Amino acid sequence: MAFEDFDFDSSSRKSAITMGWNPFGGSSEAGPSNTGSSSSAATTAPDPPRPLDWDTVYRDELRNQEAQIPTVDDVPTCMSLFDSFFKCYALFPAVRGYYRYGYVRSCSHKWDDYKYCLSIKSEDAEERRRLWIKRVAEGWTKRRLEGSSEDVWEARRTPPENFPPPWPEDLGNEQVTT
Amino acid sequence: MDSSSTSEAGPSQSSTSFERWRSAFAAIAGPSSTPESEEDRMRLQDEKDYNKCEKWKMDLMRKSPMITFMLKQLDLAGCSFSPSNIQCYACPPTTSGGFSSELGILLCQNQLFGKKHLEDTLAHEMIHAFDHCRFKMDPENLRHHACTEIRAASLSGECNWAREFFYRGHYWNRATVGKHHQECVKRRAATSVSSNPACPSRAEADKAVNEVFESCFKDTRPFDEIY
Repeated sequence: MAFEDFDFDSSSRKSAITMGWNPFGGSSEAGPSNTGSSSSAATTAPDPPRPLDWDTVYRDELRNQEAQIPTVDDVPTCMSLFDSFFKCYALFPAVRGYYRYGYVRSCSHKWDDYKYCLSIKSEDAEERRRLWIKRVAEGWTKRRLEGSSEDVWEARRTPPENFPPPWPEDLGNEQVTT
Repeated sequence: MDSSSTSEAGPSQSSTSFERWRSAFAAIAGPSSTPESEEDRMRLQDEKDYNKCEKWKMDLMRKSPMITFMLKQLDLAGCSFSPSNIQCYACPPTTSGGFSSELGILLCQNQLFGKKHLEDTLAHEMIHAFDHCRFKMDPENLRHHACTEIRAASLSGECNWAREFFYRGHYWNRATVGKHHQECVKRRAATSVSSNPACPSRAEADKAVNEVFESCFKDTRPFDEIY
């Protein structure tokens, strides 16, 4: 049912649709300019994103993980990794895994994380942070290259401009019109 | 008893308990109310909905683990969201929220079942915002739209067992429990994609979702896995 079919009185209550909201992709007035050609282009597979290489992705992930783990206190403790491993084997997570994936997934990657944490325990704090970042970045690089949403779209190098947009002053916040 | 407050002819500004009780029963009694009092009732309901939505929104932005995590990840990605970028507004019946790269996040104040529902909706829209921030997402490209909807439905918590069973009555059709999460994700993603102006039919929406499902379902960024 199109939004235009709803009978709501915009003089007595501001509706999101009269404000020009399209729940995806901008205001409803600024729709695609030539719907014929754009709809056919949108449904055929466009040019695939350019292929990824290990070095570019690894550098990107190192930068991401440096931001995620800025100080030595943000490195997970071995105890928390141990807890995480055992939680993976509890009954409820196993049932939930079956609901989500159709089978009970292996927890061995969590045990590997715990063993790695023990192996770097003797290093000093800053070196431990660097090694942990390296390990996580390698893991994510492997995941991205094996198959991820980047088969569908390309990652940005820099965030988009003017996002999130400032709320337009003329729309206001009041729900009650005089 | 104050029998002079027969305020059908004018706006009922009074908020005494008696007046609230009286107007609540008048609303139940139905169409004997005049257009003016109907408008007032709607206006008061709008105000109530707005206040409730704002209060819950601020609570969630401060205390909900999911929302605070998403706010932090958006910040790290270079797109910090503040309360003014997330607006409460009245919407038509089928929507509970929306995301626009030009206006921010919309929460439908009159379509919320409860705080948990608001939390799921807000998380869903924040995942769209994250995708817009981190990836080159073209809103007219159905595959891109399908990918972001798959990720948002899967990671926001709206396809978990309790929601499917209690809110939507999906009592495990065809007696399958396994992978019902994935069926829910596909169903909700296709419904969203079919409302895209660039989508010609539901069949095309389903096709787009199926094409990109495997790639997009396993990409759980910014989470390590589906929590």
